[in-house]
Amino acid sequence: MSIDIEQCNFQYPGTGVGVFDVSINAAQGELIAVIGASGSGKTTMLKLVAGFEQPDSGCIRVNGQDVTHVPARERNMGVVFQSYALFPLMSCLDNVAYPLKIRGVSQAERHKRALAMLDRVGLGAFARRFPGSMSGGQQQRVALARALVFNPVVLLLDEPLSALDAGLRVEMRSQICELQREHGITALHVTHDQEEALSMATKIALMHQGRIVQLASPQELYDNPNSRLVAAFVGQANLWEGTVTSQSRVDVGFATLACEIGAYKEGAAVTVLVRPEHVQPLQEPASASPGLCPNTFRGPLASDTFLGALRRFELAAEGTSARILGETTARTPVGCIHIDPHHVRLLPPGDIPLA
Amino acid sequence: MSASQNRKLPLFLLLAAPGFITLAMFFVLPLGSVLGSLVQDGGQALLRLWQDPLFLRGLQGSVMLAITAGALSVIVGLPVAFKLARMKESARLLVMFCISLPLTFSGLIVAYGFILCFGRSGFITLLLAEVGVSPEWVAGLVYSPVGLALAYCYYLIPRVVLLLLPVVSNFDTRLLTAATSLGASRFAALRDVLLPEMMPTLKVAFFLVAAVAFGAYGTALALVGSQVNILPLLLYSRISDTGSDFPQAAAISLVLLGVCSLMMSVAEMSALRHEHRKHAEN
Repeated sequence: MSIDIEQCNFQYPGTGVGVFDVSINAAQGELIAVIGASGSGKTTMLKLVAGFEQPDSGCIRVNGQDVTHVPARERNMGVVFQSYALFPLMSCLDNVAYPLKIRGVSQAERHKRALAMLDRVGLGAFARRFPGSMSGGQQQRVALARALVFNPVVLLLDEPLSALDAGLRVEMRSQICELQREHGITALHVTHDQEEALSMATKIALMHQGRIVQLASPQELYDNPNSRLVAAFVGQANLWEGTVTSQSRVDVGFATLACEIGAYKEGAAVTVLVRPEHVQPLQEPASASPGLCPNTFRGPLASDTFLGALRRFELAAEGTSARILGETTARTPVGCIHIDPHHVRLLPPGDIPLA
Repeated sequence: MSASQNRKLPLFLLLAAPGFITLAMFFVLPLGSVLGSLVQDGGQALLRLWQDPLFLRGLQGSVMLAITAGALSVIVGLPVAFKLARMKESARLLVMFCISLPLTFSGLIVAYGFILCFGRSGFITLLLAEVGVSPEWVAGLVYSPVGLALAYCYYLIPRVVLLLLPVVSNFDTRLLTAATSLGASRFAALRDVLLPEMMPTLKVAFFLVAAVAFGAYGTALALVGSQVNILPLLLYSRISDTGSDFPQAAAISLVLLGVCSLMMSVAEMSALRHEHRKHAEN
């Protein structure tokens, strides 16, 4: 079912903290990731949807129906908590069967369904175990089974993977996505891990100080961030403040870059974004001087980090104090780089988003 | 034995000595002499006790008193502990201080306080008389096992609160939120999630204060004298001015000790089982 969060405002009493003018529309079957730094309001937003908090204004609809004032226990939403929140004195089976028990399903039936759900997350053999004797990853899968067993209208995930180690996190990502698709359930996934969001979500809402800065598909968010803030939060980035000087040039202080200026006018202040994968190492041109070849810089490497498949380096551009972050798969020495004008993105200046 | 162990042994003995001596002098020795006077007449005292209707009624009275005082204290203490756990640090400290105050009072003070308030001409008895409650009824209640249980609650409730507070404070309230999100009402969440978690501590608290109520005698003596038949008062009557039946007194002591130990071990064992269950493999 679809979820529509419309113009929601909520402020924790006595503080300036909360969420402001938050609107998100999630169509049936979509997985929307909500990302942002700690304190950006992403968990608060989830609490509003779950019904743990009441918005001061605005409304929340599920399948078009206003649920803003429906108590949490009647919203029929599956919530997976960061802390798993499994009941320690109930076996896995009883944990998963609990929502069915509350709904008055007979013992035989609820055990059958809970067991089927545990099988689905690969823990059928652990049904009689207690949560205390299981690993974090296993507990999280039990929590996921418990949140899905009663066919909730939506699935709410509150940083469900942040307590797991890196390898397990990646494995759990695909399991969550698989289950979510299989159930055709709309999901809201709160996380501070941008990689998680980029890999799982159909849409990402980036929050900052209680507001949504950009709501877009992962690709759009990465390729066309609407502000410096989004560009810096999602992925690695070279970000320079600059001024448009002509139809195809932007001055970034240490150099003038060739670029496509789009709708910007000459003289406009902009933030210039260059993703590190677009910083191409060059075989050093023997004769050409940097002045003749725009967007080409030479200089020593200030840092050079081997990351396995990738190598991340910082080139200290000759005659300037600028450092240009680049990524390459090449293992050869780097002394000269080029930035394709096509990959120089212009954003509004400062942190102010477009909208 | 290695050289280092040899060197450590005297220090160990030195440090352990005060504890051992205290234990020997104030626990082993008195208990030994009680048992000694019990076997003096070859267990006759125990047999006589069993046939004594006074003893059986005393045992009954004490059990009733222990259960009433224990249950009342836990029922009152639990919500108090809950409220405290949700208070701000500074407010909690203040309230904790007030709650702990009765623990420092002697049983006699509590007894006289009760008499001054609820006795035949007590302050509250007379106030209640104004609205038509018979003073005889109030006084009758106070000078009964139930009244005694109420007086005991006065210093048993703080104990319960102190015992429960850490467990209540450490309870992960997110579990209640989770239960709510799964469809449970507030009541169902408390019943299914919180109560099972609290149960072992509630049992320990109940048995602990029940054991105290079972064995206490100062307040009882001051408040009801010999009007109520409970074991500690029976024991007192055997060794006070009017009697000196030491084997019989020893037998009663043994019963008191046995019942109290039994209650405590039941509580401890159930707490242990609870912990074990949380980490059970299957």
